[in-house]
Amino acid sequence: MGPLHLIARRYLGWLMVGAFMFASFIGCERLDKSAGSGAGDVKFTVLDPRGQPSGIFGSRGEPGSHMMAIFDPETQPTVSRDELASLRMAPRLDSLENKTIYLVNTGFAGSKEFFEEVHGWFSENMPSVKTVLHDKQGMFSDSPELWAELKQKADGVVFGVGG
Amino acid sequence: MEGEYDVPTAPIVTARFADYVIRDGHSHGMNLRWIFPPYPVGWVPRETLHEYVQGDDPVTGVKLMTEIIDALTKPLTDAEKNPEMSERPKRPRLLEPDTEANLHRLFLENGWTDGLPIVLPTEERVAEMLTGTDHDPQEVVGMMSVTPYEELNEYTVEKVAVNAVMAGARPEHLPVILAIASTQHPSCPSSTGSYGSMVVVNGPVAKTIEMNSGVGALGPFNYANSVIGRAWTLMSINFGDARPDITFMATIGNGLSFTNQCCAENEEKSPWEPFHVRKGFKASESTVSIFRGWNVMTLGMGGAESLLQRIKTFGMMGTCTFVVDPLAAKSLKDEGWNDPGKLSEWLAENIGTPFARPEGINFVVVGGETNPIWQTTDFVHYETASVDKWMPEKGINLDENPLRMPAAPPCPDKLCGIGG
Repeated sequence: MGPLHLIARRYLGWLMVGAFMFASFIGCERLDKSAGSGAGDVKFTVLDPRGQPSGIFGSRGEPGSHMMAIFDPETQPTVSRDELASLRMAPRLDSLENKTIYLVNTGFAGSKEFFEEVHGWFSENMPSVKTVLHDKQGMFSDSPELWAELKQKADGVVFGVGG
Repeated sequence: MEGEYDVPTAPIVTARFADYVIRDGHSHGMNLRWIFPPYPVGWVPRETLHEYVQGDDPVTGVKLMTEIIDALTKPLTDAEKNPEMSERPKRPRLLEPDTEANLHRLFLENGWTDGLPIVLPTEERVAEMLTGTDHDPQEVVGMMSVTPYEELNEYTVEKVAVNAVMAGARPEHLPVILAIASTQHPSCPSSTGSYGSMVVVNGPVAKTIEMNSGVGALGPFNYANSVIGRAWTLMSINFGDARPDITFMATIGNGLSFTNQCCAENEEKSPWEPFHVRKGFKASESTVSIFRGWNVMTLGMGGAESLLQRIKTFGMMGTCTFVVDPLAAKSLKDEGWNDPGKLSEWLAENIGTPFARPEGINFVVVGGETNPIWQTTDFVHYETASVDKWMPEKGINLDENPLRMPAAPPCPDKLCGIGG
């Protein structure tokens, strides 16, 4: 066995470890770059994850459908921005004197008692106003009979108390 | 009431929701004359309500009763007569290139994630994800919003793929994720009551992508269950526009929302027809079934009488879904309930509430037969949708060496490796 052979045997292990570490270092750098992690100031292009505004609102079904159509799973909302823009507010009253105002409790906790207080305020401060306390049946259900009654008998409506 | 019935209206909502309803009204082109009493109105002494009515609107500082009178009598302004709707800008397909760290920060700080690390949806990764289906990337899958009245957001196959990448999914999972997206149901709708959801996969696809329907099926022990369930929530955030305290108002929130109890039904061990077959699909079809409720309330044991007692105890208004271990399902079958539909009918008849309907009471068989229990949930079944529609013609696109979490190995020697 020659001296060169002996030196090689002594240091071969260290040489192999060194070569492995160097290769690992190069390999890791390449892996990092290809995976896009730990690559410092390398820039990546990614896709936007958000949905696209559709101009369609989930407030109603087809125009003319019942008011709670959104809760009907067979009804797909189709109200477009243009149709919604045509929604308008009713003309206002000249005053509340001698008018009939419905106080409609939509069913949230405390609403009934809150409207009893509103009713009391009108009785005390504006006795000519006729206030009608009305409990809507079901917070999330349609009430066509109530809507018809309001259209026929109410000069104004106070709805609440949401939330 | 205003537009169709010509009746002037004063809507009252508590001050806690002032920003929400003002924005909602504007986005619908209506400048409603809101009145905001202090919050809360429910469960407070009568004297407090008296003070609310006598006092000021905390948002405007104006006397509450003056606001009510003004809302009904003050002439309409020009803005109220001619409402305008602000239009939201279209989203770009690609975001500005940036470093990995900055993009992670961008996604997190914009609220586009669930707060856990995501996989960035690079073009290459999304293109690879799209090999999971034959559908055109630009095909519209549906529209979604976490609020029932706000503008719906439209999403394409590509957008679904983007969120699937973010969730850590692979192309093999895409057909199931697309099927969930096709239902257009957000996993976390904006109810103050804090909804939770569940998604159950049936049919051959569950086996192909090796979903867990056995031991720990609802826990964090299966890759497909985890990433599919997570993708649903990321889609709900990004398509449904869930932004806490802006569009998303769930007061406590729901821990189920991270992965939505995503699992497969244990069809092999179930003594009953698979759930999707009971909903009108063929056993050979693959489906996702969407459930929504609030709670997994308790576990129980025993037969039909025990189920009935549990529903009565929790006063569940007659809607619930029992998640049943196969052993418990077999016990119920031994009791004579060969058809869970008949069991639903019997329960609905005996709950004692007029709201109970058989279709509101469901059974899903999940579990690994280590305990004959059932979990009681107040979940309602919303929809079962086809996965097959989204499958590539060549079948599920499995990776050459699919990623899998450890599963129990076969143990023919009964030593399971302990004996060397």
